[in-house]
Amino acid sequence: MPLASRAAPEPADCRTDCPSAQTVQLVEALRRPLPAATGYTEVRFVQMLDEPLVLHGDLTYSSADALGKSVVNPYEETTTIADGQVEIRRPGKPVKRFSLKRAPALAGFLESFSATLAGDAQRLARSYVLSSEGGPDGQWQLRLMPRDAALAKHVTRVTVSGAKTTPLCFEIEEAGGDSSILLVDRLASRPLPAAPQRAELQQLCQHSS
Amino acid sequence: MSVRARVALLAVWLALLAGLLAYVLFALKVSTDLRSFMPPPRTPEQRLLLDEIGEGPGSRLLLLALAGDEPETLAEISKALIPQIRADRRFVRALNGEDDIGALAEGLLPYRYLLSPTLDSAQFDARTLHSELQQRVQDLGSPAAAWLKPLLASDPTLETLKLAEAWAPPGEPERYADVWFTQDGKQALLLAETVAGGFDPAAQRDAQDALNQYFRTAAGDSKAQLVLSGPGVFTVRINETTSDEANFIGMFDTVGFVTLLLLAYRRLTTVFAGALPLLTGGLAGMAALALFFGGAHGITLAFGFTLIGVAQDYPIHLFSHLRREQSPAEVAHHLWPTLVTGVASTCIAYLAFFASGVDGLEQLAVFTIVGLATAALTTRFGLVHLLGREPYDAAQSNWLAALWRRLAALPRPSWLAPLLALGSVVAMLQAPGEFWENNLAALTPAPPDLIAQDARLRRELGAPDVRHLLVIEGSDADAVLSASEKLEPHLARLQRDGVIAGYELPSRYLPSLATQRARQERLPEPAALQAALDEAQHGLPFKPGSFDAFQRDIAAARSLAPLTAERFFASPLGLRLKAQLQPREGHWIGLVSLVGVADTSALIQLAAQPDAPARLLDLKHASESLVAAYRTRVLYSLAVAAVLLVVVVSLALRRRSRVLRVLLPMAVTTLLILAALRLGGVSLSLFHLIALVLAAGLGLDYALFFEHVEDNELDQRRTLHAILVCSASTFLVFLLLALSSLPVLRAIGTTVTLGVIFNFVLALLLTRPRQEIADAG
Repeated sequence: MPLASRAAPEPADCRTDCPSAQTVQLVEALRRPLPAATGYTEVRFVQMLDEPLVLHGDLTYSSADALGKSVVNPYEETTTIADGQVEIRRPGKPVKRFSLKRAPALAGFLESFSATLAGDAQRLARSYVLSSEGGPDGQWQLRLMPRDAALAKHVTRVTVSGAKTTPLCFEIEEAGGDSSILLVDRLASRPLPAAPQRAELQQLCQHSS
Repeated sequence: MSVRARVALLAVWLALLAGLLAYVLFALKVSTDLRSFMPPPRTPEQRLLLDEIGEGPGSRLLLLALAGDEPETLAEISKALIPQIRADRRFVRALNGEDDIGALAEGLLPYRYLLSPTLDSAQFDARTLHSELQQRVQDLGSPAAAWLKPLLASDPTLETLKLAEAWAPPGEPERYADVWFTQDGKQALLLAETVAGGFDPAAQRDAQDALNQYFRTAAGDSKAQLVLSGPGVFTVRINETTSDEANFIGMFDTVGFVTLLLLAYRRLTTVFAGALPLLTGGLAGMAALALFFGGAHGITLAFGFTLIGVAQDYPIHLFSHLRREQSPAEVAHHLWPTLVTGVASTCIAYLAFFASGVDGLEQLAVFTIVGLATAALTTRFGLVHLLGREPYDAAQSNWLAALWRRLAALPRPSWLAPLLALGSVVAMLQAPGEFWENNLAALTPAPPDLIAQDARLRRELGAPDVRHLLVIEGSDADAVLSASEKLEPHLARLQRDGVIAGYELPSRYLPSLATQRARQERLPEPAALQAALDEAQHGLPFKPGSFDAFQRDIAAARSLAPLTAERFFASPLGLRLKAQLQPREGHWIGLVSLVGVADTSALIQLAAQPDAPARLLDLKHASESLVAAYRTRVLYSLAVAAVLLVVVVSLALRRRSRVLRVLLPMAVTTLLILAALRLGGVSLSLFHLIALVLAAGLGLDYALFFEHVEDNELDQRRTLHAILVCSASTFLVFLLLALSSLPVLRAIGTTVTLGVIFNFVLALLLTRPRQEIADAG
């Protein structure tokens, strides 16, 4: 796994490490109309915890920089992102508000998520170095490496995988060693073991069709 | 004297002036802090105002607004500004709403369980810890995990965050991109507290220049603009407009004055030589201040230069009496007794101010006495030798001769003086409005747009009230902190009742030693904590040993000596506490800022309770009572000065009728000025009083010269010429001031302009002896 201390990726516009035509084609095929909504299951691997956190909820995606993420189970929590601001609401607690910049993992996810759903390879390529590979049954994997040094300090890699024109998994690897895998669409409701292993989930993501 | 000798004398004189100037620049420290000009405090309120508060922490707050660019950019600039201001020792603190977890610096971190109020109502038992840890699991699953993660191992109950929240200012504004913004989201807001008092223009100017410079660095090529507000900004702005306008008027004055003198004496060299005595007097006065006091207050100098302006009349008297038949030295010798009577009596009168017991007035006395005496002596013994032997003789002027005859024929009604005096007193008593103006700020009002802007920013930022303040006094820092804790529930109640919108107590930063010890006693023993943690983690996915750092910190906190004020002061947050908790000689004081005071009476009631831990300080009331006390001293000094003046003039002139003729115009003029001002609806201030003294000095000179009977008509014409030039030049100078838009300049200008008119006319009608006029006619 790449480390945070890795040399800073190239800046903004795609002069180096440009995505291949194949990758661009893949991304463009992922485009879907807005607003979009899906259920999700998020499995977070936190080093402090000896088993992963498994959260179920809904994602609503209405524009390029607006995302709603609500946890329904095992507890309730609603996160809204709009105009670079994040709000976290929990029942009976004061609302937490902070800038998206302070949650780089979330920012990285939002960028990859929204650009992917917009089928916008150009925009993705501005923030990330893209690479992709395909499987025999139309499965594919899109790997995003942050170009921006500031983002790379927090997010080392985002991997989107899916089948045909449907993304199914978003895996975000954080610099400290924590990571999370977000299963969406038809994988969201897939039953999982009580303490799913990361490799197990990666298998699931790569081989679902 | 030969031309060469005159040039040599001029060179020596100029060298002397340069020397004096160098000494003054080197040795004279000009202070602009209003406090050093104020009299010693009498009431506890005044003592707090002067000795202890300066002008209250509210007055040291600068409100900053960034506008004119995208909110994102403004937020970036706001974040870039903060570290720069914090690193500057001219500022106590700088805030923009960013949670700064780093605020709880290394030094204070071990004390977090003693500083945070958590343990007042809870214990670190299994139940509490379980609920906290459960929330931490949720935090780890949420986007907030990014910055909470590093804290969790040593601080799972997030005391650091609780302290950062508690230390944020009361009544916080909206946030955008983590920093404060106005409600419309268009302007980023920041607060900076200066070390210098809000009413110290020089120090405030310095601090605000620094802010502007930091802003330019932070803003780069953004089109954002910085708007500054707060009492310090008003002070600087008022100071600048006042000195701008005074300089502008001064320029016109100089041109008019020089033109007038050129018309009167027709010799360029004469006119410029005439500036030397006043210049020498002013520099000598400042040198004397440097020598005796080491420094001077800016107001002393401003008043002082107004008062020694009368010295410009000395060369005029000399010039008007010059003639071809006599050397200037002989002319001066002849005039000297009259001139010296005026100068000496004025100087001796100023001795009264020296006994006033107020630094500012003592300085004023020294400056004026040294300045006037030097100007008179240099006129008599220096200036005369610079003048050529072919002067313009005023007595040869035809129009002057005609005017002299007209004036000589004027009646001398003996009923005039008592009638005018009586009329003035009646008018003064009948005039509407307040007799005295106690609010110094009314003389130097801030522009309305600045006031409106300040009110808006103050509302948005929830910045403390500038006028009201609670003051806690105690034998030591801990006594103040205990009292501050006792005050807390009262203020919380007032806040609930809507009397105040918020408050800032010193104990919010540092609890008393007793409170810290009580919290310390509630920290569990290591074994008990281990057991509680084990139980609390039951059913939660934390790895074993996740909270070892927490356990170590609690164990360490159990044996810490409680944090003292001295230790806290040494921390990076020390300045914040220092602004609210300060040692004095023999005791300590705590300052409690209040935000959005809606109902003063409830605060007065709170402070009036017999066991009230704090006193309410109304800064406006305290400063007004100080001004009133100040005026009382000035009035006493004036009364003594008047008596001294009468004594000196009596000794010099000896005959009662002569004394009366000299003093009467001056006395009646003073009454007339007061009556005119009061009838014009003007409330009198210190500035009017000082200007009255100047007017009286002018009147004394006019009367002495009119009274001094010359042997022949030519000399009498010369005297008339001198007094005409003196009064016309003074009239011109102060008339421009009287037309100023600034109340403070207008006060001085109006008073002196009226004084010149009344003194001149009354000197004509009351002073000149009947006998001599008959002879001359």
